Amino acid sequence: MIAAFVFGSLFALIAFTRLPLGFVMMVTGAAGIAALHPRGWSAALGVAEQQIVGLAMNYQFSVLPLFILMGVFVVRSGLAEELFDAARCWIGHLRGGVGMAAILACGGFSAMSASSSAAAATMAKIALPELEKARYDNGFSAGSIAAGGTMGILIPPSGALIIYGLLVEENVGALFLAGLIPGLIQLLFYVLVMLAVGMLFPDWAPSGRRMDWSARMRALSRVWGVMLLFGLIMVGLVEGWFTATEAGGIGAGCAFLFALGRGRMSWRVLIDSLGEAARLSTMIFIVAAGALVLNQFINLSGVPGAVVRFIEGLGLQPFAVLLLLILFYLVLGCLMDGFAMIFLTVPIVAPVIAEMGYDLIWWGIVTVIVVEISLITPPVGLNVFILKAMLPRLPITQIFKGITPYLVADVARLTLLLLFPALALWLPHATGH
Amino acid sequence: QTELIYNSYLPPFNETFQVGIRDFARRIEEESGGTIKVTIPDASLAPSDRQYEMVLDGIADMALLNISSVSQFVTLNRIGELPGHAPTAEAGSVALWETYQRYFAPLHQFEGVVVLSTHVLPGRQILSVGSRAPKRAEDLQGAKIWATSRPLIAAAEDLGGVPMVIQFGELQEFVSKGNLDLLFISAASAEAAGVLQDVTHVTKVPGGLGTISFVIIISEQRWNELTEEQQAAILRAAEDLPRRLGQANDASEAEVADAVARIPTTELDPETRGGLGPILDRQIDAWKAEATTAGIENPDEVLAFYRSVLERETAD
Amino acid sequence: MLHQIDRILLGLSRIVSATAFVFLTVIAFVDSIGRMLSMPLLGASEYVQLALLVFFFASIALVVEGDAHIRVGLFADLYKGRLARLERYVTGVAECLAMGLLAWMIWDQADRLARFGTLSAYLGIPLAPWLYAAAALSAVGMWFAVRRLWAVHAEMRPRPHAIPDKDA
Ligand code: NA
Ligand code: NA
Repeated sequence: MIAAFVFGSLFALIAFTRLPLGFVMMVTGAAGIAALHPRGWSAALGVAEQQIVGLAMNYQFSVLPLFILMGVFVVRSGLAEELFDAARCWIGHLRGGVGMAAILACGGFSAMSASSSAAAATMAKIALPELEKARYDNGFSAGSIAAGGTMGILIPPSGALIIYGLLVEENVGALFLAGLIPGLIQLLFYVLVMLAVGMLFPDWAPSGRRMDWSARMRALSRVWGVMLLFGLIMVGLVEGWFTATEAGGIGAGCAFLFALGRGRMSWRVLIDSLGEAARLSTMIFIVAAGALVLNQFINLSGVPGAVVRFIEGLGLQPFAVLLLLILFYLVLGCLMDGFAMIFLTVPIVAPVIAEMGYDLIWWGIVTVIVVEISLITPPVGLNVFILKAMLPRLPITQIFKGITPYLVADVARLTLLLLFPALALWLPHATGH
Repeated sequence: QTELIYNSYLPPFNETFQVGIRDFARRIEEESGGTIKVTIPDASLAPSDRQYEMVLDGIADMALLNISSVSQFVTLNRIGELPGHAPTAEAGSVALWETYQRYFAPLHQFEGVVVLSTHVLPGRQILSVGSRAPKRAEDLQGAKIWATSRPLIAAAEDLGGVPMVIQFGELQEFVSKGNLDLLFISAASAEAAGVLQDVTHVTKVPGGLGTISFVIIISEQRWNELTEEQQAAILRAAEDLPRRLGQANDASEAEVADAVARIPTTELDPETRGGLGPILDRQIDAWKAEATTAGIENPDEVLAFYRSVLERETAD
Repeated sequence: MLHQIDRILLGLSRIVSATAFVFLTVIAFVDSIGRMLSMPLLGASEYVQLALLVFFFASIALVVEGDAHIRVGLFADLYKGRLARLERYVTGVAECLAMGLLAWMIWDQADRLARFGTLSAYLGIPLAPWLYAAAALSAVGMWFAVRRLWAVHAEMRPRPHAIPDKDA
């Protein structure tokens, strides 16, 4: 009863007002604890305060600002641009080649940024002008960048996986490794989409200019930094030179040194980068703090147990339950921000998944994939909005139209991951997680 | 009916949870004839190192806590953590409880709460997860050592090792990657952390390198609100709890005994302890100094009493 | 006058946030390298924890000032005219109250830890003063929430949130 009332107010507040999600969860969560706990508000405040302060001082959570800072430094040092240039020089002359270069650069940038919106915004700025020059269909170009940007939260490092790990208490390093192969599959599928579109609809994705070998080598010689940094972090995680938390420190530190070494770092740039990364990570911190308060209410309310019993009562096969959950996520993802979706649903859904005997690391990757899809499905798709904000004259329906082929690929890879959990689990298991 | 909220931050399969929280809660309900209902929330209402504040704030009424989370004012109970003083968890737990009641309780180091039980874990040993097989103090020079509590970290440093302060949950990752040489841990704890299969050698330090000490508390305010019958019921339920907790933890060590028996083992001589003795014993002197500050007139007498209980408990 | 206070408080938050962030990054970086070379920085995780606390609370002002909160507002985006204006004001006022509540809660927690004398586990640093500082920094965040009420009128068409680059 209390739980229904709390969830009702929660959804009413986040649907009918633009109140910050974190504050809504914090206040409704505390009110719920006050209603359930024999000691009322004094207990609720105590619990809420400890959760908020506990998160602000959570050592593992420090990886979030560190990886976000790394991404900001990477953008400022011009690495993203050079990544795209190199890819374009090599394959731009193929049919759909400039588009493939944009997709590859999205993947490469995702390997150094924890956020999908950063990936979409950065790559849009860099790749859209070139795609336009190559006479690509505007809606399809924008759709490709919006979709390519979603790789930011699957290819490690990933903000979404850090948050998921925090909520279900799983190892972030293991989650990162689990995301690597599915992330590469996404990259491959998206390149194939570009290839197929280039062949089926040549006026959507024509071929670009052929570059000579010296230009190619020059472009390639400038991207060694990206390769080195990503290689260092991945090999370090696999070989156990450091944990995910430490990788954050190394990543941010190296990206800074890199920008400094290329003469792209000044006091102004440093201060701006720090401010930008601080704003991004703290906006997630506020939501995470609210989610943890709400989480305590959920624990006290016994809702996860009730949901488990309800589902058992339905007498469905576990796999049918999984499919229903994914369907629910896909529908919810049409309407809601990806991070909001993780924060609001994982505390209730994860115990159900664990109860059915599925692996929570694998489910984390499934969750991130449905969140990725939510970023590009109408009507509410964050990455689409970002592209729309940068191309004010392009109708948003054109962008959604351009995204459609990628959604087909997404359904395919989601199915693949459901049928073969080893795609996510093999790497973390093989490396002793 | 009175409801008491008994918080737990331990997982359900943990022995200390089963004996000290789940079964203890059930006993309280039985002994009280149903006038007390003990509720154990599904998830901890506060982080493991904030249990005491949680009880004082009225968020929960009862809690189990590691005394290193209240090191700023609880010093005397550290007697249970001293090196060489935990031949078994049962003996250590009973000795700590008897010493607590006789010498420490009157000094009121636990303000605002009533202590219902005390216990210690089995003594920590030196488990190797690399090529080192320490037989003497010198063998620890430069080793990367995992240690948790402040006294164990100090010991690792005093022995010339490099203490690696890593959270329990991250231990497996560090071990599997070969980033550690030695663990100051017990076999059952190593099993719980998922690293026992990586252990290549065990160095048994008689009585342990030291260990970790716990208490079970109830809010004094809530305690005073209970009827005398209810208080008596809780005390009956708590009777012998230190022994039961110690036995449960010893039993979990016994469960991994077969696995440990297959690992090459060096047992240090009880007299010399491979030269570790003088270094480890610095902590005994440190405890004596703190006990004097806390108002104990004759710390040696307390130590002698503690040891006499250990002897009695290990006699057969 | 108000603008001057804005500028001072924002500058202060920026400096504190950036200092804590640099400290945090340097400690994490040095400790990671140190561990690989068997020279870990003892107590590094506690320095990181304290820096993280200061960093987050100092940056709250930056989030509020830059209107960077994550919001959902499924139907709120469809409101028009007077309803839209009303929602913006109600939300703005509620946001101020929530920021005030947050600042007060952190202050209350600081009080509890001060009464209790809570120390950090390994280095033994008293925690309460850090939380008083965090409460003060949250109060700065509340200041900007209140100041934003002045601007509500001007931005009736909110931009989609979470666009990372201001110049993007
Ligand atoms: Na990424
Ligand atoms: Na969507």
